[in-house]
Amino acid sequence: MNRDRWLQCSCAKIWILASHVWIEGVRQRLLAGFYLLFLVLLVSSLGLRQWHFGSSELKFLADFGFAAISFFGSILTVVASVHFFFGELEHRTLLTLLAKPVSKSEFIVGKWLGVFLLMGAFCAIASVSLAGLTLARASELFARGDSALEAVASIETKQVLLVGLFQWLKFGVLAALVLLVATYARTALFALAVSFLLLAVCHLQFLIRDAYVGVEFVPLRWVARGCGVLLPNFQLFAVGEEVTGGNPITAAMTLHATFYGVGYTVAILFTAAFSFRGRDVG
Amino acid sequence: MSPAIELTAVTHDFAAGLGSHRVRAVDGLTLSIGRGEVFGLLGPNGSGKSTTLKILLGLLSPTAGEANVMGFRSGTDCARQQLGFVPEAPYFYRHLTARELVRFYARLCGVPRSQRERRIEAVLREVGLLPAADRRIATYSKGMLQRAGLAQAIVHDPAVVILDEPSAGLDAEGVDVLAAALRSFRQAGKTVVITSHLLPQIESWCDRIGVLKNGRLVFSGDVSAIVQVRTSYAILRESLSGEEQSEVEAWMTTRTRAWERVETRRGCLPAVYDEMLNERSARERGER
Repeated sequence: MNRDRWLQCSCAKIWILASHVWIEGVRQRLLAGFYLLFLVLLVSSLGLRQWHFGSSELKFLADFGFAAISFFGSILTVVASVHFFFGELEHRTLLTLLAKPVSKSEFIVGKWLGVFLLMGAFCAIASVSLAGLTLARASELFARGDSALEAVASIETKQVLLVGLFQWLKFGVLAALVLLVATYARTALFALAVSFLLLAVCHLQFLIRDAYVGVEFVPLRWVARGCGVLLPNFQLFAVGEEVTGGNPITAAMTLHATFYGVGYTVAILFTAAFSFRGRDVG
Repeated sequence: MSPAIELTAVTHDFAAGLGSHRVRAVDGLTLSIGRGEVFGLLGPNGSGKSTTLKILLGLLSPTAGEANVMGFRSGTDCARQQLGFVPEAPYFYRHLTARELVRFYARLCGVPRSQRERRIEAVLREVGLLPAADRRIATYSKGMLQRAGLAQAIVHDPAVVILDEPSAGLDAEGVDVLAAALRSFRQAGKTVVITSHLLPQIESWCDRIGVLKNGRLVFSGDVSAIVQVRTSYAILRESLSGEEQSEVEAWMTTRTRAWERVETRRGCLPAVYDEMLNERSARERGER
């Protein structure tokens, strides 16, 4: 088989595996369940408007929505990645699958792409729902001639959707990270625990780097730098505050986050595929 | 022409816990299985049967030696393309229907789009799953799962079919379906490798057997030749009084001195079970 044909076949198999993950995620109501939770929280934010701590109502709603996308999206990414990986392992369907002309690398990339598609759908419907809610509330306030018009102008639909895109990129990196952990972990529980720990560490990674990068003790400085390189910085994708603070997301920011996310995802997936190659799946 | 399966001095060691301690699961196994042969791989638990199958399927790499399937090194895409595998106690994606499951595997095996649906229909019919093909697998019985397993294994028309304990937990009807599938594989000229602990089934299904013990091949040969050596003949009678038995023994002694004994045979449950089922279905037909 020549190289082009091999690549074509490999991509086709990855796509088949990914679409299988998508079907499973939809039929097992993982996507619908988490979207429903997000929606409940979003709608409940309308009843919590009095707790806006001085910011405008629309900013409060947007902040609440962005946090809900990040929170439920992160949980869904970790749970779905672990579930789809260990489901195959525990039910031994992996044996039947890998007895077909499917390599372990294709399996890992296929699972990742499936979770990534699922998260894309989640981010899309969640950010469209949030944009819809803020628009509806803005037009309500506008009709009343309320004083929040300034805030209405500052939260554009496009910006809300861009925040969704940034979150999607983050979930892509997170899914790859979870799969890397899963290739090493012996139980789903261990994979879940370590993945959530890594999620927290990646969110706080910039603190470690900032705190130790200036210290004089050289080994510690190198460890801090190493953390900064090995672990992705998830704060880079947290642009919700920028948007609600009136600083729109620029094309340069989007490009930077895209390259950063894609780079880390590829590197982590490569490591996961390598780690899984040596694992006995029998 | 290369044999369907060829194992040359295959050894596989498993890491046992921490450190360098290793357990040898397969020890210098050399075996050749011809094309179109139905081969039974036998042996007690822990003898290395499953490890050997996994090496053939490319799920494990041999520590030493070489394994080939239809002339291709095991584990390569070319070798896997030639293989169909029915796992022990198959469990498949519960959210799919049997048709979707077989389609999923057909796509992974690269069955061309133009032939795919026809092929799926044909294999589902062959294993007797067509009436339930559009039901979710979650609703299937164990026998139906085994049939779905057979269907996914042969959807890409492989040259070699590997069945790991295929009749474990199956009812009599399920075993009949399996036997019919094996007959059709034989007719189609496929090579079949079966592992099982149920020796009567192996005897009736296989042309040749290999026996493994502690990872080594301790015996390999034709089933008919092995059984022939130990064949004895029996005269069966439904009832025999003590007086009649003495007469038969006296007669046998005058005719031949090679006879062994007159014994009382108990009825066996499989025969009684079959009779009961047949009687019941005949009664139901009569009632209708």
